[in-house]
Amino acid sequence: MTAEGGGGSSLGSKQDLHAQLLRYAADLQTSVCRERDTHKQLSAIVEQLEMYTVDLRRAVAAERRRSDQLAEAHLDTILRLARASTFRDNETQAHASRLGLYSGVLAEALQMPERERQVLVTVAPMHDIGKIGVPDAILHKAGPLTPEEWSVMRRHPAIGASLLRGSSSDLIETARLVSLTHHEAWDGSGYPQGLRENETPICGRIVKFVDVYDALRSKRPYKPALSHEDTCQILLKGDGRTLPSEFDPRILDVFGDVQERFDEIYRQNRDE
Amino acid sequence: VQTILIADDEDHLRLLVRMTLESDGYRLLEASDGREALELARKERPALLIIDWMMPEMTGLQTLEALRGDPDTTAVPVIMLTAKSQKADRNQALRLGIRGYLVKPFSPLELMQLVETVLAGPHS
Repeated sequence: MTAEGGGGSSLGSKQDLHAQLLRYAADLQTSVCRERDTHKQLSAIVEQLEMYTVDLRRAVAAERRRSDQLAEAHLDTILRLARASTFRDNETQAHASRLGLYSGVLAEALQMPERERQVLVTVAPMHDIGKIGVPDAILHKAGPLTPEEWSVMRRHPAIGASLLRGSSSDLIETARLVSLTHHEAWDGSGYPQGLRENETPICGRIVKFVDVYDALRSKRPYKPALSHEDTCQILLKGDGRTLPSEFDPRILDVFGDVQERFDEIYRQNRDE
Repeated sequence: VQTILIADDEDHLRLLVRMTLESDGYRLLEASDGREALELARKERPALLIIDWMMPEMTGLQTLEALRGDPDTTAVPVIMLTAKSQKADRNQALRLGIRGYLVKPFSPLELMQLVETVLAGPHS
């Protein structure tokens, strides 16, 4: 390749070529340096992002710990509320726990989702919390209640429901439904709303049933404790006061399969 | 809302610092060299200056000296955010009355903590 202008000597063009090669070498070196700088910069960015990732993990873990602690404190409060609800009533803590356990057995037999089952076991013991709004003179009256006294007594589901209203917690919301509907009956003969069949949510239907089971098994001022067999007989066939039509037929159906576990729960969690 | 000025010649780093601190509710201003930082500090009077050491035009240290020499900006609290990790460097910067010294790559949690502490503390 000749130099520009055409007529240069061979020595001149050699020098030109040399100069040109030097330029190339210089440019090459510059671009290598630039490359190295870019590389350095990139690894600084990567190192910085690694720090961000580590901190993100740390922050998420701390957040999770805090949220677990909150959930635990929340549950603890609810369990204490459940215990508080048994103090004013003549019912015992053991009765309240048994209701949770029976409800869990039925919920499982009815193939309810895991979370709903757990929630029901936790809140079923609170079903009578509304009784804290019923005067002692009625709640603890030795003799039979007058019709007026009964109407006050029958307010306890609504009192409990208003106490538990408006919570964003699924536990409290289920507790509210259980309180409100645990005296409703499948045949519409219950209270306070006289709901029929599936109008009562499943949690209310379950607690209604297990509450009657436990009441029949327990000794009351006006009745002796019944055996498991006699209790099953009354629930499935009825007697003068309790009719099978009050209960969800699906619950009666699965109860037949799991009834021994009700007996176990009663025996293992006796009143002290 | 408190204003924080971040001075660093690397765009990505300013972006990270901005995102980290804006989510904590601060207003962020950016400068890409020491001279720009000095001008913005005089004009905007930020509650805090976070500054890199090695920058074109003016280094962080030179900027700091200029800030301290101006009665308008002498009191602004400063956090140095730098790749210089030597103890001697740190001591040199601390002698100019900075409130914090963070080494790159820095921990964002540490930065947030430090910013909160500095802004809560006495502005002297």
